[in-house]
Amino acid sequence: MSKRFHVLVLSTLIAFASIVAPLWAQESAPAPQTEVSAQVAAAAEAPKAAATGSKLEKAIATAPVGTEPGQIDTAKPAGFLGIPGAPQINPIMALLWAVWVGWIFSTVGAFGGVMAGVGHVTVFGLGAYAKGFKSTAPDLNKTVTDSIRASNQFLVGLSALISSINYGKMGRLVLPLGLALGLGSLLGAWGSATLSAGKVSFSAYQGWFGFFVLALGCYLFWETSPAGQAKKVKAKQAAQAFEAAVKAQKTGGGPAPTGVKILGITVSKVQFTFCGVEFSFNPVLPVVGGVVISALAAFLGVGGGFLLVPFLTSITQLPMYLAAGTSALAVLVSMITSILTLMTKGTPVDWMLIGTEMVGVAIGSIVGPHTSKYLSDKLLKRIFIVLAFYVGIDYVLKGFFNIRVIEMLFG
Amino acid sequence: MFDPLLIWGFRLLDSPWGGFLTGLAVLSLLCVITGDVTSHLARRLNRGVYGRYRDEMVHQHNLSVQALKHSDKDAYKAVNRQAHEAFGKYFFSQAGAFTLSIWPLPFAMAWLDIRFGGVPLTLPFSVPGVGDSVFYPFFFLPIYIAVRIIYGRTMRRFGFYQRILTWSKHGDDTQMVPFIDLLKPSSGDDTRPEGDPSDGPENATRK
Repeated sequence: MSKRFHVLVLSTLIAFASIVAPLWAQESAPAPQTEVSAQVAAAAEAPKAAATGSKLEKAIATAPVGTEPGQIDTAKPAGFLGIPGAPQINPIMALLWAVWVGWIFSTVGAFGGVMAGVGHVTVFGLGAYAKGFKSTAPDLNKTVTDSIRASNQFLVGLSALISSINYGKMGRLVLPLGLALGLGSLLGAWGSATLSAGKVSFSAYQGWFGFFVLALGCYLFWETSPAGQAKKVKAKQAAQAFEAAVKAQKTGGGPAPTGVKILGITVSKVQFTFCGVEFSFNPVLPVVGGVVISALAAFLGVGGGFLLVPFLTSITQLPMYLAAGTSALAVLVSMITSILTLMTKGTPVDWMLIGTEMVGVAIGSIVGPHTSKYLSDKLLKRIFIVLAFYVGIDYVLKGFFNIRVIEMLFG
Repeated sequence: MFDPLLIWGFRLLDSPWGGFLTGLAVLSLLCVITGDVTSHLARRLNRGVYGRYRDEMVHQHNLSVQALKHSDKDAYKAVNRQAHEAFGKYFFSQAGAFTLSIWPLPFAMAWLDIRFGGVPLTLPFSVPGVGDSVFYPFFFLPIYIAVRIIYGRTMRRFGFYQRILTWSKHGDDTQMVPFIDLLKPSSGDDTRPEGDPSDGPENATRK
């Protein structure tokens, strides 16, 4: 095993420990513990009700009790996060929706996180439930919103883990760049989660989520437009031409220069040649990019990897071999930081729901590649453009202006 | 339904702390084994698709290395773009397979939350920035990671597990050409590939 891999594992463990440790530190003052061992033994002997975290309990305590919207109906059975009267998420529905998310994840890629969010917000009715507490119990509104964000990120962000580990093993990380990007990601994810945890109302979250989905829809639209397609076709043709030239042994001339030659390093520009090919990038950009992308991903509860890879490729022109592993490391740092920062703030997570959804995502991801051959990439993208525009516009209007698209169109 | 099975490990030792930590290790092992079995099944089921995605990614990558060897920046950019697309497909397919290896973890967390959620555990020493009181995930997640690593390393030593790995393996044996190779002194062969013209650059390292 390479030395680099050991260094990577060690640094990841140290980073993990430093972030994880405070998470389970005792935040609220508990009852004095004199016989902790006995408590552990007692817990092992007698099942107890799920603890939902002091933040949630406090938020529930501040909510008015009653049967109206925006009130806690204590007579009803416990629903999401154990809140009495909260939506009861049917596990079969959760599984089926997650299969859909996994299918999209494996066929289109970027849209999986969005669909996970749509499931939590709209399909399971958590959005409307959280929104009901906007004026009656703002703390509960924000706590449920944070839980939705953390749940989204659990579902979509974990995929970075495998990439980081595998690429780390293969020594395919540009460590200085990965660390710069990772540092930016750490700052962005921590800052975003710390500044926004417990402060974002559901409406604001929904509005920004919708805005992001709209932007994604516009990007997908551009990709399928003649201009976007032309660029893609041109790249494909150039690649094929080169491949043909290699096969026909028509390439080359004199011996290719080897090695890296640094042409100049300034604060704003690193210029070098690699095998005689000139490259340059701004060294500040990876840090700034890491901050911005991770902050956005942490705020919205999305993965962020699909933003980092194109960013790395276009800014640094980094080869796939290196960009993929490097961005995976940054996504991993960002994901762990934002989820744990949210949880440190007492954000409750419904583990049973996450587990059920994870099984669904896995099933969908297995089925996806087998079914995608019956649908062209372009058609799939167009379907998602329509979905993106509908979801994006609906969420922006609902979140920022409290207008429902359906009601606006059909009265 | 699973409670008696899962709590079993926690009662193996009489000492409360010993029993607690052993129970977490046994639970972690159960999660790792269950996840590993389902992950191998999925990989076997999808090995054709995963293999195609991987081979395409490796092929495009190796072609981009060739482009750099020829100092052809335009070709490099074009091929690298194709390599990124191929990587995207492979990445998302592997993410799905990975999810199948960790799916038991959240269920274990849910069960632990029912059993130990909210029970503060006092450490025999104080950890800077943490104090001496923690909750169950403080122990469970590191133990899960450790068990996963030990399990992976131990199992690879067994012949039957090697056969399972081969059974669920995808793609051919072609490896990505490391960029470090480009830093080595040129032999002169890099610019004019010899041999059968039908040999693509992907065959450069094919065993």
